[in-house]
Amino acid sequence: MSDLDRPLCRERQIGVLENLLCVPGAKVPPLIFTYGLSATGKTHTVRWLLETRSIKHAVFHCVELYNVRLLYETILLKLTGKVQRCDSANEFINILKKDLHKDEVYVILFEESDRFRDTDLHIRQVFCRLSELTELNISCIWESKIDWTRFQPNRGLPAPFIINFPQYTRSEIQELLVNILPEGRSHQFKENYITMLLPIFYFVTRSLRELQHIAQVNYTSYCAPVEDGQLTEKDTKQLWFNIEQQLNKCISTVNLREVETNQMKELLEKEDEDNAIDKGSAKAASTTTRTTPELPYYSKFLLISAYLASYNPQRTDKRFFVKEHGKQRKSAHSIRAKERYDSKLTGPKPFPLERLLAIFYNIIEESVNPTANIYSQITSLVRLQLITAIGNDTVEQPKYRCNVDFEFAKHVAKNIKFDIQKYLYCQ
Amino acid sequence: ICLIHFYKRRMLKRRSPELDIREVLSKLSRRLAGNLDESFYGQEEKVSFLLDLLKRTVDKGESNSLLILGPHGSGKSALVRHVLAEASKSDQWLENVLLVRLNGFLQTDDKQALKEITRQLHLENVVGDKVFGSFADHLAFLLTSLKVGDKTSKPIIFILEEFDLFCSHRNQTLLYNLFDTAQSRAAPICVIGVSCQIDVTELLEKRVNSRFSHRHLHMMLLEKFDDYYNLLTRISKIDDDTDLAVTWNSHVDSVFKKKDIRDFFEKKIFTFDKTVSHMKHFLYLTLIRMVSNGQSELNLAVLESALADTHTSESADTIMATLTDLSILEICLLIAVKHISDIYENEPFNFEMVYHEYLKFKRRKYSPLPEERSVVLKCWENLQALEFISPKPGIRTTGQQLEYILHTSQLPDGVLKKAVEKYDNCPIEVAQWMSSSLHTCS
Repeated sequence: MSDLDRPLCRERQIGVLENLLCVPGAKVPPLIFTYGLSATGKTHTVRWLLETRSIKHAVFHCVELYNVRLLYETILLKLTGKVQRCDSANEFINILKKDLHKDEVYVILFEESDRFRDTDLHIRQVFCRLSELTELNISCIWESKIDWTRFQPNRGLPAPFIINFPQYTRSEIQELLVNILPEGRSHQFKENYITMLLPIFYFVTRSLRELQHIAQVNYTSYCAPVEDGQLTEKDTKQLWFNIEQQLNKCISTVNLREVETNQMKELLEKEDEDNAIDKGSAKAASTTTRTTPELPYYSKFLLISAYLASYNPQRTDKRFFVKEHGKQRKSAHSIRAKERYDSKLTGPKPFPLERLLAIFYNIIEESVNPTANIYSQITSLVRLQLITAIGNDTVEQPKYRCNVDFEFAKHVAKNIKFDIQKYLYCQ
Repeated sequence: ICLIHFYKRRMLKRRSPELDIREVLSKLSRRLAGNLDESFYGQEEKVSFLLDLLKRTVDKGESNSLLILGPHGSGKSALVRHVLAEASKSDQWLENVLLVRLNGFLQTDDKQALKEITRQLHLENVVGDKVFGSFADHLAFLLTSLKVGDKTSKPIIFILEEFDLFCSHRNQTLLYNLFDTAQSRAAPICVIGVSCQIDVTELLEKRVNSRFSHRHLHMMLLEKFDDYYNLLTRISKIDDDTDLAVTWNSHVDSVFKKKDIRDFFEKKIFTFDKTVSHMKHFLYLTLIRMVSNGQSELNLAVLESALADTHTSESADTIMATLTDLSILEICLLIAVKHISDIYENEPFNFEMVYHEYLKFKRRKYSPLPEERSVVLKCWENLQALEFISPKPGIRTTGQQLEYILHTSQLPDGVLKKAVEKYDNCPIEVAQWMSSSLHTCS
């Protein structure tokens, strides 16, 4: 099964791996360590090489390391072809010694091997020294995002052969992206598209996977005018003008992968409507529309009160919420104190239930009976994880902390026509 | 005929070595790549001491125990392998001796150790399903079942690698019983422990310690550079009689006699790490380099480039390589982190503070950068995954919003600055921000 293509732009690494693993009669190094950022082709290159050279190998993803039996049995299955029960490292080594041939080259590839650091020490050591313990020509390739210096435990590990997979350069990414786009258009057309696309997104992410996704998602709309016949392939300027707006909107969803093309279109249309009505709204409003649950009327007020309780210091409550408050003289000290205090940076503070209810009754316009309804709404807010309950003291004085951020609270406040900005101590 | 042969040889030597470097690699890799090689050079007295000890167990039926101690890479396991290979050249050995090899990494438990001993002595059938009262009974049973004919059992050699891990088993039963048997001469056994912990006898319990014969064999790293260099020359040669071996060996000899090569090894390799394993690793890297470049001659250039391959070159290099791979947004976040750490003197920070700092930079100096919180948060999580920023240890993180968890930076000083300088097409505003915090300018 070699459905993998030859990896592009990885010639040097392929050369090194060939020299390590494919020289006939040579002994392979016991431990090879490949590292590089995600989407740099580490697994792809190694697997391609192993499959095209028909080296017997096993691939194991270390997220399954929570159970050692899975580890041993998967590797045994892939290397020997038989399903065998194996509980411990000892049995594993014995079975390998028995079933594998001394002269053949075997390779085990561990993906995300930084998880090895969370397991027992002896498992790490076993897989570093596998060829020594089994006396076979077996090599373990540990692939990871994090470099080797962070792997060193107290007992030394043998020095691995380290291969670095650097991130692709700009020209390499260009070449790779052009290859990904679907067939049907001229090479020049695709190159123009990518050349227009890259500068916008290259700041934010250089990860090939993300850029691929963005390129593919926007390609159809880029091609649309050419499909319709309105423009030819050569009218780069108009094509660019067409796609520019869409790409600019796309930048707010880079790395997030939240929407596929159709949903994206709907969202963009809805945002256009919103923008037409309210010019001042930030682009980020579109993100919150996706995630706001619909809350009942009192719950919205409760949420706002919780936000105010978390982010305003207690001593200022009197000033905000009580009608008769005296004048406050602004001394130099108080101005400086106010400047230093920025709760948005340090995070929400916990508050007792009494304070929440006091603020709640204050901001809600009509008179409300303190029925169990209110309390149950508080509990449901906790369930939705919009407020967190702190501590175990549920009998005397339960304490809470608000979990929503400012954008969310502002959105809810706008919904109920409450000016939250007036009640905040700091901006 | 002799003369023709003589001329042929001279012609071979005069021709520039047409070595197939891949062949050389495949022959030498056996010795250099792994740890299975059975050759061992130098330190003849230790070899003869160990050989003598083993012979006494086998021939005379003496029971002995010995500990081989030394730092990593000093050749303890290599010594054991070599001695066993030497000893097994005599036929008497192969017939009579039973070898049991245990490893502290594999047998993490005394029960497992016992099962492994049973397996290596091929006594599974004999033991069958018997249940034993204690470890001592079981071991005694195993030993008695090996009795041959006239009441003397076969000599067994136990080799315990990673001996210090056996000391952490419960009650040290395996060690106690083995040493007990060695001392009480119930059967002729020889117990050889190999460990990298020099004070491993401190880990032994009193009763075990008293049964141990306190024979030590200390393996040291090579002190003098001359010995090191001779060993280096020796292991770079192929032990064959083929033409390839002859050409290669003479080439190695001539290259290693040069002063600059010798200086290179003395200053760059020997001063850093005196172990033989490092030497082997380095030679292996050199050979791989030569195969990749397609050259078949050793010279200083290829040695230098192989040095750059070892992970012993500054660890900051690997971190810098990763830093130059990040995107601009992530670099900006790291610069913001650095400035905050400078201003607040290494107090832990959270995402909000970093984001605030980043926004200040973006709004004042460099607007093409995106502002969306969710995008920046994703980059933040990327940095966390790469372990450049990690949550402050010891604080509770459950129930806290992601943005407010306190983190600390894991980057060493100065690396970020070098990385920004090396970064391809770094926007100039970012580079300027690196060198001067926004707070200092107007």
